[in-house]
Amino acid sequence: MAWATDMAFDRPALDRLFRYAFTLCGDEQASFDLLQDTLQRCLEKPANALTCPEAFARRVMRNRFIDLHRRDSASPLQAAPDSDIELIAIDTHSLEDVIMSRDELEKVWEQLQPIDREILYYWAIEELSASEIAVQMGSRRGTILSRIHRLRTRLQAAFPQGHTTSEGGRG
Amino acid sequence: MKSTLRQAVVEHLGEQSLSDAQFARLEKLQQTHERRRGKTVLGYALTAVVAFIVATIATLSLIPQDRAATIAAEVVANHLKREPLEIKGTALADIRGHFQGLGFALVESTLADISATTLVGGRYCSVRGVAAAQLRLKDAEQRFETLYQVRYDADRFGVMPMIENGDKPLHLMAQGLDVDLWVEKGVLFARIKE
Repeated sequence: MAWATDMAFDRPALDRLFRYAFTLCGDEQASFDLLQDTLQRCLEKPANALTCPEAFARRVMRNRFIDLHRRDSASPLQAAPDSDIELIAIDTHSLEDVIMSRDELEKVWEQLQPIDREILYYWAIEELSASEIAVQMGSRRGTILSRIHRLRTRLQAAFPQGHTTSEGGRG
Repeated sequence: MKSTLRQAVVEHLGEQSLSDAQFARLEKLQQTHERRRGKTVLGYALTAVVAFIVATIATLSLIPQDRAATIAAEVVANHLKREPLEIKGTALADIRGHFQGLGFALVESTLADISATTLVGGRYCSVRGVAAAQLRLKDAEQRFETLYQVRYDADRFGVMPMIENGDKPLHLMAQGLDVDLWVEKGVLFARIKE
């Protein structure tokens, strides 16, 4: 249970939120600051007003991250919408056959855009489909699929030697 | 060691967790907030209790006082108009017939100083919208008084002193005049003395 009756997140819940913060920020100190700021805001909310406090906290964190980085870029977690036509053969399955070591991922992690890291988080940690990721991120499915396609291309370009088992299939 | 991208992401993010110091800071933040919330809840509870007490006191005492004050203001205003009498007489028996429309018989008050006055006459009027008798009296020093009689309805007039229960009349002041209110034999009396 992430949210106890006394309005407190327990340690496992805080760790999960920290991982989500790390996904957005890509940096440990910034992640902790974001989590602390989020927690402060969540605690202002009456506990019984929330059906899923952890999901609420993720949303607060995401909005806060966008606010904090609004100056840096137009919107760090929003991609321009893409046409669905070119994405018919793409789904999260496109990522399933990408082969990569943890060290390699660590090297590229900070270079990825927050929106791409967030897609990876929902896909790998929460095991969501492209449609479900789109709902979580308040985006269109086509946009998410487009990001997945580009992400796969970028990862292949970063590590060109035998990093896929096959071409991504249709999801 | 090669693995799938999914495994790499799970392992990479799985490594990320709060240090003990970071967790302690967040826990302290939550506890501080909880204490503050507790104080706020206690504050709300105390406010609610005080509000309840005030409301109860108002209901039990202030509202009846308000009604009495309203009655006093109304009867004094009528008294000061000094409208012409519809019937004259020096005893209630002389004028009772005129007030048959009231739905009750005029009552002789048992209060000693009322007995010391002399009836001059009376006229119909109303108190809080209820038909009433307005009787004009004169005391030994020829000062006029007005005595109202109206059928007593506690819901309409509020709780009033009952002479039969040993209560004393409720005394108020309105426009500089003394007003006494009481109930005798189911009739509300309002007496204005100049």
